[in-house]
Parts: sequence; C-alpha cells; structure tokens
Amino acid sequence: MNSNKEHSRYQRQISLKEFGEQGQQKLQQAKVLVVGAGGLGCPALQYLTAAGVGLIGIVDHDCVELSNLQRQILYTTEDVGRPKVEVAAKRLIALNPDTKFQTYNVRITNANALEMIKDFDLVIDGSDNFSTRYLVNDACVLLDKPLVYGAVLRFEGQVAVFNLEDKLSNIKTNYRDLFPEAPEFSLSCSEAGVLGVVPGIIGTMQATEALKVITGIGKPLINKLLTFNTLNNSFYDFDIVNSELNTVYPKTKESFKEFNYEQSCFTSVTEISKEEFDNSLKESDVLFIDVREVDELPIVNDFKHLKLPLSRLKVEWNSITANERIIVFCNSGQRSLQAVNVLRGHLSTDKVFSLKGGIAEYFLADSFK
Amino acid sequence: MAIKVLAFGQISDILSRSEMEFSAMKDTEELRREIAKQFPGLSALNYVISVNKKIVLQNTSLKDNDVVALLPPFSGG
Repeated sequence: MNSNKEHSRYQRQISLKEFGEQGQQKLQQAKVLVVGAGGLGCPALQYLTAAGVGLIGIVDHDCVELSNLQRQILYTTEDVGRPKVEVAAKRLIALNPDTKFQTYNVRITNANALEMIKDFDLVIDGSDNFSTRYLVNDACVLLDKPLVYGAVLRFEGQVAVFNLEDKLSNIKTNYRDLFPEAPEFSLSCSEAGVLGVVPGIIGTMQATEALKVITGIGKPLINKLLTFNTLNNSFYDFDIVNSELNTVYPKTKESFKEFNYEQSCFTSVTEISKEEFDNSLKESDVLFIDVREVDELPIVNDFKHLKLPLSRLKVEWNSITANERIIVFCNSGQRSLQAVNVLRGHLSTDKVFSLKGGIAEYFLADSFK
Repeated sequence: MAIKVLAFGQISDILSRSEMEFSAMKDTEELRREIAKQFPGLSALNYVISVNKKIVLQNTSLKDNDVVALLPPFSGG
C-alpha cells in the first residue's frame, strides 16, 4: 500500500487474514470488464469499485430509462435519457478515485467483442439477452478469460463462474455446457418482470465471485451454477460437466466474427430510425405491429397498429396478411429485432423492419421537441 | 418407487408448484415425455435436467429416490 489514506480506505478487507495486503495489491492490478450496466451491472460495479479494482471497463449502449430505476441503483431520476456508461463512470469515480474506468457506449457485437475483452483479466456478464450472453461466453472461451455469469427473472437468479479450470480435476466448463444453444423462445425481464432486489443480490454475488477469483480466496463457483429463489429463500446448486453437445460455437476468432448471434448480428438494414418511422406513418400500405406483451407501457394510441406480442407472433405469424412493408416495435428495440427475424423467415420477405431503440425512446425524443 | 422433481423459473409457474413426485421412470427422456403430456404449456419452453444436482444433457437412467431438477435458461439482467 502506498499511503495511509489508501490503507484506511481498504482497512476492513485488508484486516481479513485470507485477503490481506496481498489481496489488495491483486485487486489494484486487476482489470475487469462489466458487460451491461443494468440491474446486475450496477451493484457489481459499485462493489468492485469500492473494493479497489484497478481498472474497470463498462460496456452498455443504452440510455437510462425511468423503468430502470426500480433496480439499477447507480442512476437517479435526473439521469433518464443519459447514456448509462457516462452516468455510471461519473458516480463510480466519485466513489473511488483510485479506480480507472474505460467506458464503451456501444452494443457489444462479434465485430468488437474480442478487441474489447482481450486486455481485461476477467469479464462479468450483466447483459439482458441471450445473444449477448452466448457472444460474451464464446469470446471468453476463445480468449481464455474467466467469465462471471449472472442472470435473473422474476424472483429468481442464477450465478456461475465459467471458463476457469478447477485445479483438482483440470475441468473447465462454460455456458454452452449448460445450455448448448440459445432458446428459440424466452421471456425477458420487461415481459416477465423482476423484483428489483433480485439483480441486486445476484449482481453482488457476481462481484463476490470476481473478488474471490482475483484474490484467490475461497471456492469460486467453478463448474457449478447456483440458483437463488427470493420467495422461499432457497439456494440450489448444479454441477456442470463438459458436454459432448457443446459443439455449436465458433472455434476460431475468424469464425466468431462471422457467427450468427441473431440480434447482435443484425445490421442497420433491419432497423429504422425515428425519422424513417415517422415517414412510414404517412404511407398507406405499411403494417405496424406492437410486439410487446399486453399491459406494457407506454400505451400507443397515436397511430393504427396491430397488437401481437412476440410470444404469440411466433405461432400466429400466418395471421399476418401481405403488406408492402411491415414495421415492428417493442419497448427497447430488442424483441422487435427477434420479431423481424421470425417474420422474415416465415413470410420470406426482407421488407420487415424494427424501430431502433424502441417505442420508449421514440416517445422520449418526442417529448424533448 | 418415486422420483422427486424440482421446478425452477417459469417451469414452477407452468407446473403450479416447485416440487412434485413422479412414479418410477426409466430415464430422463421418459420423464420429459410424461411431464410434457401432463403440462402441455411446457412444450414451448427450453430447459435442462439435472439428476441429483448433476446437469445431464443426454438421456440418463433414473432410479428410485433420484432428485431431478428442471432448469430453464434466464436472460434477464
């Protein structure tokens, strides 16, 4: 430790005999990338910063939304509309000026992931969709980086440490040994809901696992997945083994860049801007489809559209009649990208587009006019 | 002869309970088929099975008193 000030900041953990000055030095030298500054990312970032991790990378392309504040505790009401990485970095620097931050206000894709991850020692997955989860997993496998995984839904969460070898058995597993391929259908938190404390608990557990891996204390969740159910306070753990079914993943950096991660690989051609959306509203032969679940806010009354939640669209796509163009939208622009994929596939047309950023951002832009 | 089944995530909603018992089942495939028959809502859902806490992605034989867990993937963050 260089100074008394630093020593007193970290005194409570340095005084742990397993941790000590040595643990603090390891943290100071550590470089951790947190993917997603949302419900999981916020608490993970706060605890890693507070603990004195030397360099923290934050990647997130979203802006703060009002519906985030129930669980994303780094942000305040005033921050709505501002880029998450900017707000997060500002708050975290104030928390601990010893930590350096590298922010990436972009969506992590297979075009930029390897470059982004390569200089970090450990990655925390706090993303909110399957395509990013598989992409980050595969990138960590290719670059041989430990990955601390966390995911939540409703009242439950999952946490695991992937791609780190168990010293006794020499076995190393990853997300694809658990779920070899992304599911065709799944619910996100905006569809299924989540209790705010759940990502708080799971994100904090991810930070705990990261601190254990970096400092070498305790037994991290290697080759294990731990689940926690807040309703009945039950923990359950699963042993993960190398699976023969884990075959569908890119084996080289080149094939990673060409691998189809669905949403993350969509190019701008599938997405339209707010301006293009406005122009399309004036055309006659365009079908607009709201693919959000019923009851999701904001309610859209401003233009004629069909309400067909993504979960139903996947089975009822044949109820859609031919149109010159179809424009789908959801809250953030992620589910609508899935809907584009479904409709383009089934209707054999490429004239299906998704509103970039979703209807929430669309209305937000409107309210600033 | 019974097998205890634990349900996680959305599966416990579909089953309307987080724990249930099934009479003797030869293997995990038979159990999957039986569960799908009793709970058609489950057919659209992806999930993996663990037998006595160990994830098994391929068909695995079951014996009396085994504890099987049904785990769906979560994506939320």
